[in-house]
Amino acid sequence: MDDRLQDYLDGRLSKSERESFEASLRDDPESAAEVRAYRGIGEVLRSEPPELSADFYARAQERFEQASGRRSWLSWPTAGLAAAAVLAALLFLPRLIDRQAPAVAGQSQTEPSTPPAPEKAPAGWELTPTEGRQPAPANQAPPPREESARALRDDESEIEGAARVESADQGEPVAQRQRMDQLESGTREFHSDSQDKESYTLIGPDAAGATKSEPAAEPERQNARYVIEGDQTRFPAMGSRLAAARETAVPVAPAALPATFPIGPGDVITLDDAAAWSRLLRESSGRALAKLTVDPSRRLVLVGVVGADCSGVRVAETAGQYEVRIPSSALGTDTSSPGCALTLPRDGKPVALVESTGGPDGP
Amino acid sequence: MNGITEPERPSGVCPDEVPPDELDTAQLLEGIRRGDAAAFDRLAREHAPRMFRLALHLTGRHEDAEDLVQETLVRALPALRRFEGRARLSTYLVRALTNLWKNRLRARGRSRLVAWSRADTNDGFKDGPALDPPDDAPSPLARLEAEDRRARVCRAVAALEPNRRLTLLLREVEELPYEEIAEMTGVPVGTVRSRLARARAELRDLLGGDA
Repeated sequence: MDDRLQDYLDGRLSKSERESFEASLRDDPESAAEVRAYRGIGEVLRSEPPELSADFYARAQERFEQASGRRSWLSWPTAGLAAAAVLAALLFLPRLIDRQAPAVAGQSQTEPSTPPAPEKAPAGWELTPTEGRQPAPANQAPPPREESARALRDDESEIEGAARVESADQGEPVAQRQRMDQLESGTREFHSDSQDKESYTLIGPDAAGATKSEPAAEPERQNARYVIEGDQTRFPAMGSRLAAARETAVPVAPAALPATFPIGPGDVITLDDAAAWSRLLRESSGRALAKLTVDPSRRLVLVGVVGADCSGVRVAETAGQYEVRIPSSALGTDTSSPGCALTLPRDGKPVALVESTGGPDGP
Repeated sequence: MNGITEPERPSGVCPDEVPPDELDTAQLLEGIRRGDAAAFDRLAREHAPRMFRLALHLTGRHEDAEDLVQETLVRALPALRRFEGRARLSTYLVRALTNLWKNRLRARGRSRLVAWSRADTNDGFKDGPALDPPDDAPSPLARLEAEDRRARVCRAVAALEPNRRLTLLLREVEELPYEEIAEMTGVPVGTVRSRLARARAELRDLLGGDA
């Protein structure tokens, strides 16, 4: 992105620079369109969000009262009691424990914490904190309230780690900044900020049982995403290398979505693209559907990029769930299509997406 | 009496007094530290909507965003020891929220594969086949298009690498200057600039120029 364009968007140009840039936009429709597009994104992001739930403040109060109750119960109300406690601690206790409760519900008391130790990498992975920061251990017990306050005020939590990467070609270590997240489904996902186009090898989990997902049909992107599935709770000893050799610009599909998921009141489901719909459908049972009996009370909107032709999509109501049937022919790679807008009753029943091989009206 | 007069000042205001609204906030914070639920409720109602807007873009999910805002308010308000003005309080809460989000992201490593957003509760849909909105519906297509546009942008933002997402949102939603974003995220201004540039370029790719 052009620096001047970005400075203009973010109000960092002087008055004369801004006027000069705006004058140049009049003769540069492409840049002008870019400015409009970026401003449009900002407008959407700043637009009024959906309303908070009706019981939001009541729930917030409840949490506050619970947290306050713990703080007051565990505090030392008078100096005399405090003095007595100190004396007792010196005489009878091996160490003085900070009795201030943390502000978070359900968490236990802790000692005044020392700075968190660097996170240990799973066996077989090397982690190098970036920019001199030590990431906090994921399972560290919460610090007392003062420590918690400091943690909130000072950004000591760093979500980036770095993995040591060896180039498959040169055989020399190539240190790259990567972010490592452990996904809920048990996969590990790595993002590379490197703009290198060389392939590289990830040294880590045992290849046995680990598979590399197929890349999704997406345009080349600057960052690579690699999803390695396998037994992530135990990392076998380092030894095998996973050949993730791929151009860094080629992304890999994320883990498959469940075939069914409950629809809550007010939910709008939007899937990423045709490939995501396709993956979702392939996880389903592929059951045949009956025709939908139109429900006049439908209030849920299901929007997805299915392809140019949405006329073959049907929705059927079976015992206990809704099935959205999408013909295979509609699962194209036409990501420019705005997709289909389907409506389903908002009654909490799960929705199954099914790919059908027949015509729009067939099984 | 002796020709000396008091210097002119706006009536009812001493130059070194805290403005009334900020004094009110300072007192509310003091009350919150003492466990005053009514004080907490007042400040929560003042700051939650704005925090929720940011949290929703960070988390991509309504329920997660509400939980994040509540947790931030419950933890951060009692912990604030020195009130430095309402503007600083707002920034403090933004910082607390983003820190809590990053901590949760790290601890849970949750990746949002499907973007959820609340549909308008009054979508105006009436009778008609599943795929054909009725003719007399009040602009369902327009509503859908607007919701779709928002959903697509939100989805694209949720797909950004977290640091870039956070930097973009602090700039676009909170409208913080680079320097403040740099201080809040603990990186140089140059890194803020490059993260912003990459985030915007990536959004353009994801949205296909149809933002």
